[in-house]
Amino acid sequence: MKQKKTKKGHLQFKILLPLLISLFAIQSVSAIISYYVFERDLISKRNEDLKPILFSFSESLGTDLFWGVTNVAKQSVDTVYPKYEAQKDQLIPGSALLDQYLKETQETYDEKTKMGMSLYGTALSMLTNSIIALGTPSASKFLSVVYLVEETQEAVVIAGDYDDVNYNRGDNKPQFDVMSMGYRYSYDFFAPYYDEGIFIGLEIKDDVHGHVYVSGARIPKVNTEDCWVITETDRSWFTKQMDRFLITFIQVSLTSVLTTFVILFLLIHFLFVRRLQRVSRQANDSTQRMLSGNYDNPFSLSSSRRKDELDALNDNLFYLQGGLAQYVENLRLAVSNEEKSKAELALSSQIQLSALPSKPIIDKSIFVYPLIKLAKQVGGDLYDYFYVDENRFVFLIGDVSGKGVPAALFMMKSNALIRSSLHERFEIDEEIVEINNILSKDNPIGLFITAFIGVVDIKAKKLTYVNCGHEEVFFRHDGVYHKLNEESNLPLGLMEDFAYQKGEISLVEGDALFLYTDGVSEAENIRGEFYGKQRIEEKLSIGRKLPLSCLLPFMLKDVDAFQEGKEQADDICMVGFGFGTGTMELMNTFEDLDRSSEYIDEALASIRDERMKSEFHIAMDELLSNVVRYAYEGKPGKYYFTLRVDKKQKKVHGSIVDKGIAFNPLREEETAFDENKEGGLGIIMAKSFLQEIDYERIDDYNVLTFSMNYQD
Amino acid sequence: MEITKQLDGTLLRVTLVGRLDTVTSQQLTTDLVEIEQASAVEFDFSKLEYISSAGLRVLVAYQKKLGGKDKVIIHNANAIVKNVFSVTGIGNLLTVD
Repeated sequence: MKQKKTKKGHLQFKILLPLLISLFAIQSVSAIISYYVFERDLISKRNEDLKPILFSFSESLGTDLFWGVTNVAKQSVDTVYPKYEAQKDQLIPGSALLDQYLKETQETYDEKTKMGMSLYGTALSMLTNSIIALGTPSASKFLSVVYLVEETQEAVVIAGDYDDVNYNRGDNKPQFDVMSMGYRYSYDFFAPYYDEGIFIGLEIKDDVHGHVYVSGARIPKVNTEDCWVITETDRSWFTKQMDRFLITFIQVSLTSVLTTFVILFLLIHFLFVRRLQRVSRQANDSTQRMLSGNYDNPFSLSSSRRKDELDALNDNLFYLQGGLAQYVENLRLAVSNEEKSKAELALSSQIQLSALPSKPIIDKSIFVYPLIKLAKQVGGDLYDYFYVDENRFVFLIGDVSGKGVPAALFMMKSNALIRSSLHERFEIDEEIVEINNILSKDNPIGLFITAFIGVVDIKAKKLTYVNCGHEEVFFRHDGVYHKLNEESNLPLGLMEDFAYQKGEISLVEGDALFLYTDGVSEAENIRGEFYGKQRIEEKLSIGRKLPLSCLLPFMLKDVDAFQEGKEQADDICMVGFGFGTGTMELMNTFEDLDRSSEYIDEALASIRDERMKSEFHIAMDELLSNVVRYAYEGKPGKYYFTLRVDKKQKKVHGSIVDKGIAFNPLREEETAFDENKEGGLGIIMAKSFLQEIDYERIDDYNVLTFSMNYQD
Repeated sequence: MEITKQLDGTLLRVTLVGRLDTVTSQQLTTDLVEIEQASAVEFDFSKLEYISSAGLRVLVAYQKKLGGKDKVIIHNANAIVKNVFSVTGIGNLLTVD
């Protein structure tokens, strides 16, 4: 897989673009907030400033002065206005008619009024100036004095702007609006503010003038009239302020945003992105190397004292690269080792299995059964049996030390040696000495083999054996197993010139030997307990009535159960040797029943008591047909029929063993013949002929043992 | 087992040579079809070595079929067979001389 060269990154842009947008967004939001805050503050400040001015003006205005002015002015309106009422439409600013009207009105003023008016005008202008002083020249657009006439519910504008004295009346009389910036105030407008006497910063909007902020204070009351001084400021003043503010704000914020951005960009770039790019390049580098099979480590640990995540990443890459080489090397070794051992295992398994005879031998005078369960790792167990000549039969069991191919080859060598040495005339102990010497020489690894070798002289009914460091063997005589108590010798191949001692026992029909390897006695369970010789002995005792072909599986089953799922460490090997006619294996068919008859004849051939033989046949017919009919409930099954003649005691011993349903035939009895019950009668007959008859259920076997005496 | 049979009118005469056990009883049952035409059956057991319960069952079945003790007659049974008859009590169901 080719790795594409990674492109240069765009990480910083991915970070910075959102950053920029966020900064702008923040700034915009703060701009909007500031705008409104500023405006509100502006207005309220203005209003705060206005209040005292309005108050002081209204208080300082002399009531007499005021009264004189307003009263006379009112009078003059009453006298002059009616004249022009018809032409009211023409009374517009700048018109000659208006000038005329004004002139005539003023002519009605007396000196006191005139003085009063001019003083009043001065006071107004001072007020105006104070208001102007609050801010820009356009601070106050309009200044007027309104007086309210209660009887007529009128609001009359007395003075607007400081050098004009004009008036107009309420709603039911014609309006006279001299200044274009002026609001008509109705009588009711002032009602809410009667108690306070002041209102500040009211926002009034109309089609003509737009937004206007109006503030007013009541002049202390005299007589029944109510007078208010009003000042109006249109919004444009505020708007201008706001615009200025906004422009400044935007300028500042733009500058700060860009500055912040640049600084952040540089910071991120140098402190973070560059480092990240470097580490990314390293990783890329590392992968390239790995893909091309280069496992050296050009990286180094980061040198910063206080390591952060990027340092950690850098260090991890370093370790990764370093570890990779180690891992690959280990893997190479492991794989090659595993392959080697697998091959070895396969080979040694083959060698081992090729050496072992797989089929039991069941002959007239002897029979031998092997049973081996190989461990996963070749354990080196071995067994063998063969005829040396017509009369002599050899059987052996062995266990090679070590594992693998050397052990397997050693086993083959030993086996071949034994086979080739034991032919024609020989003395087993002498042969073993020779074999041992050969095996001990040229044995650099120091392999050895434990073995039990037995030689049976069939005619002489004798067993000669040598035990070379192998497990003690069990000998069954008269139906009971006990240890053979052989002479112990060294294993073969261990030490040259060892004087091997042989043993001898005589055999009678029915005797048997049970051989095994330490795979049995040293089988381990998960608790670390060993199966042990004691258990073998106990188990043999329980299963002593079983024919050898059943005994071995029976023993193996117990060892397996004991191991409880712990993996088998060593080969489990058992050999059963029997002297005599052995066991007949039969199927539960009527054909085989016929064969059993022949077997009986053969077994009892040496007996001359005809009556006994016939009656024995009857008894066997009963017992066997019972098994054939019922043991396996119609399904095919095997059973084991064993007979042996004890010439000394003039007894015939026998057993019938099946693996069918648990059933004790001896319980089925009846005294009277019942043709519906097919078993019971037979049992009576069998019991009447046989001297001994016993039933035992051993594991999953039905075991029937019996004996019958005979006469010469 | 060798079976020699002869039907004399309604009397079936049968000679058995060998043993009458589980296997040979089946053989006998299968072979002795003439029992259908017989009203009595006579067995010659002189060459019969022994008999087992399977054989007894066959004889008793014949006795039932033919309807009586006197319908199944056994001649020349040896000691072993006679012993079997007596041990099992079958002797009472058949005519044994």
